Amino acid sequence: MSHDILPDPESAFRLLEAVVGRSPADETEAVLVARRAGLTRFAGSRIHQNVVEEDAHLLLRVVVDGRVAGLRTNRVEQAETDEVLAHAVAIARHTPADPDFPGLPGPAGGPLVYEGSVPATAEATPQRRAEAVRRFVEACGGAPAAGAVETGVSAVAVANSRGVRAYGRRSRASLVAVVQEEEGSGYVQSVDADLDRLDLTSLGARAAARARAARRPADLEPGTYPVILEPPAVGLMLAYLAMTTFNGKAVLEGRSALATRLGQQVMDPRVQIWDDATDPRTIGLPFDFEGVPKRRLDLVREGVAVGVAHDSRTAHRAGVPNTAHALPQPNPFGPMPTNVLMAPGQRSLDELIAATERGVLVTRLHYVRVVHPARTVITGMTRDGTFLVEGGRIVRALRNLRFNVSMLEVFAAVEAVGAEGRLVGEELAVFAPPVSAHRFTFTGRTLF
Amino acid sequence: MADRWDGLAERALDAGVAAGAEYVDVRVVRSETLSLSVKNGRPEAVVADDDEGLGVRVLVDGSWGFACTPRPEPEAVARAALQAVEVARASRLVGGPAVRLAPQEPVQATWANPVRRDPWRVPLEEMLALLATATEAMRRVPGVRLGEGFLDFWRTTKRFRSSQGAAIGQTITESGGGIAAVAVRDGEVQRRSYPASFRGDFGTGGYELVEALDLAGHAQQTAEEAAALLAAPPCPAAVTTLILDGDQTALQIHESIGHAIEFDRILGMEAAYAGTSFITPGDIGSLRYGSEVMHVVADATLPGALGTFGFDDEGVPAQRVVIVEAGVLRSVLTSRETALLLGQRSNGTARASSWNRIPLVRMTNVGLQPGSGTLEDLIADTDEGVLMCTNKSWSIDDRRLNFQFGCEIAWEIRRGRRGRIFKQPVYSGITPQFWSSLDRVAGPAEFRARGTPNCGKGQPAQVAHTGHPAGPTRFRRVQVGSR
Repeated sequence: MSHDILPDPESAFRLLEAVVGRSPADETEAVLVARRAGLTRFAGSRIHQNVVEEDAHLLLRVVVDGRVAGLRTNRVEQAETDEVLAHAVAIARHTPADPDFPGLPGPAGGPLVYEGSVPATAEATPQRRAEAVRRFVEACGGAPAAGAVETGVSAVAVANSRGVRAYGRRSRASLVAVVQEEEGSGYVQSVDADLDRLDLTSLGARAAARARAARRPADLEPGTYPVILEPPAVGLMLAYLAMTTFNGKAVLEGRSALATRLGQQVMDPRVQIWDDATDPRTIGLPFDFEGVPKRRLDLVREGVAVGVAHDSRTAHRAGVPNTAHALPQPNPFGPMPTNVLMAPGQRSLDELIAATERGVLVTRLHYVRVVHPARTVITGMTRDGTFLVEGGRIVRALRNLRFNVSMLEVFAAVEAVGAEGRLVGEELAVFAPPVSAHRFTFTGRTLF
Repeated sequence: MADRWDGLAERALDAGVAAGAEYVDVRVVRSETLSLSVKNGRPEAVVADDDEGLGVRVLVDGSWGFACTPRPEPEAVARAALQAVEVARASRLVGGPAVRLAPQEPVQATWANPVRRDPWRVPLEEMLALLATATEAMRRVPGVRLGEGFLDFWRTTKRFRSSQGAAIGQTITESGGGIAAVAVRDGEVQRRSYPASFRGDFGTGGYELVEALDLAGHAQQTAEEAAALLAAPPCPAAVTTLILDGDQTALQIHESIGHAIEFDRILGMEAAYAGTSFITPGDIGSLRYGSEVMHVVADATLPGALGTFGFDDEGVPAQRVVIVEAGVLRSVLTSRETALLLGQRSNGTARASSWNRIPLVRMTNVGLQPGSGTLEDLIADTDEGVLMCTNKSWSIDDRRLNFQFGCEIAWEIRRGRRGRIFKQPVYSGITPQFWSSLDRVAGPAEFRARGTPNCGKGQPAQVAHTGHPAGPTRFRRVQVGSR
């Protein structure tokens, strides 16, 4: 392995092949996950936390007589792998056999190597991040700003005893910020593989303008209203659907709403949702944590639920093809789509607002939790910009509202899908457009 | 701690000072975890994790910088120290008032929590057999599709060194687990957990904590309640008296007290991510948080609780702090940086999730002080209301005011007795109004510290382990219903 914590493909395969080759287990999978990142955090328009980190983990899955165990360590030096392997095998020997384990996946072809890293972003210095913060803060025009600029690069490499070899590297830059104006706040978020493509000046101006518009919020009586949801709000709902509903294991176990509705019309026909790690509008790796190549997976086509995510284990149990959505193994959570996209429509956000006689414009959802997974019911709060729309225009800011909605019902009530799709999501990246829907239930309100 | 880190903390410390830092602290941390998940008698995931590294935090001209390395090599740790200084200098580009630290006498000490049965010496077969027995018993109950069992163990070994002379070693062992039954019928899914949801209950200690839970002994009742929920009516909407069991009381404390009293949140340091707090610095000492029967203490010294330690990650000794006294806010949780803004010394709550993260203000064991009576006494003393048990969902706004919490099960209370069960119960409120409606807290017999091993905060994300002494509580005029 090279001295760099982020190895090139040859170094990564050399390390992993040595591990797999020395393993006494019947089958062995070795995954290297390495990352170098910096995060510059600001509050009150000054940098108050500023960190850089680097780490590399080896994730081992060993199989002995059908018994499976996992071991993770960041002691990845070659000299230590014999000890690590012996530990993993010892755990497996003490574990009962797993009758659902289908064996490790085999190779789909030759080694898969993907390079998606922008060097200037991968190697961005603390000075570059601080400069980015300064540009953003200055563009806010004096309004207090809080947020974070993050840059980094990560690599994942997979090798197993059946010959799978996959390597991918990607960079990521993001800005997340909230700007405060009296009782109003404005939110912006932008993520890209390239730090230079974050338009910090316009993001700052937009956040400040949104904060000004959100001043002096008024109460709105809770109830069911038409809504216009901006991309961060739509994206978060899609992320929750990915975790709970398009999860093949949840479907198999009857916990997903799609356990009984796959193949049925579950959303408005204007809704198209799919997963595609290779789409240039998202940031992903073209293989999963078992090293299986990814391809586009349609989830909702013209409102009909047509697919869910599988890994090798759930695909084997369901008797369907593996869709290559394994998380690090062994994993009791099951597989999930990690690069969800929703097709944009034709109309601008302004046109969605103009077409709304009376409704609520929601910038962002906060603290979303699943209340009833099988009915896709979530609760949460609106945050950082909630507005009343009347007669096709924004007439006032609103105090934040609590909602309880079925995500499938919201997507079934879609009136229009906006054109301005973008990559959103602070945890799970989702490409989402704005959406208007004719029913969204607010059940309570807060004091700000 | 493995010998391969010997001398490296001091090397990083010296490199940071030599590079011009006015303050340096270094933490070397090794985290070992063992996680077992069993479903319907079969192992789903048996995973061991072993992770170690060194983090160095510096103050340069009043600005923070932090860097870290997993490599136990002299060059790597010196490079991390220089990187931290470079990061701190970059912070000055968008600077504000210089950071200063509240005074703290440097401590040289070691600390470890008691462990009667080391989890890493318990045969895996024994642990997996326990989970197999419990999950198979749940699966046999008609209506139950999934019996799930979990055990988790953490052993964290830390060294702390500071340029002010602190030298502290700690070993913290944490253990726990739980079971859950999932009943499925006609598209309806209901879940019941013991002793708590989200993988169970945890504390500082060894395998004896798991043995005390008697998971197998509770499997049958847990599964039967899950199955019964399939046919139960939803909890009717009403404004009524609400009794919470100890588990849900702990969640209520965590979300509507614990996070709200973090002084970094109050100061806006988490404004863009987790949010702020409805509390302002001027509220400390006078804010009416709740009723006269509300007494809250943050106690990092509590034996066996999940938020217990010897010293925080700034080298400040663990403390017992009165937070709310007879309903009035007296103190908040502080670090060395934030405490000085109140003219105080740190009350020892700055903790980092590992070597590669900076310390943040985190809850320790934030809990209620017990009152009197048992859960059954509270029920017998209630003419009409609802008893809710075991958290299922939790959501609260970004100033910790408007909340909605859901539970796995509720019982109707009529004329002092439990009646039928309800599914999907939720309740909602506004934090100070809700705590002002607290009129009874159960007594010590039903009190224990409940462990929360999944408390998220910060960017980059950190997960902390916190404890919450709690027992059953009763609140008047609460909005309840079903979702």
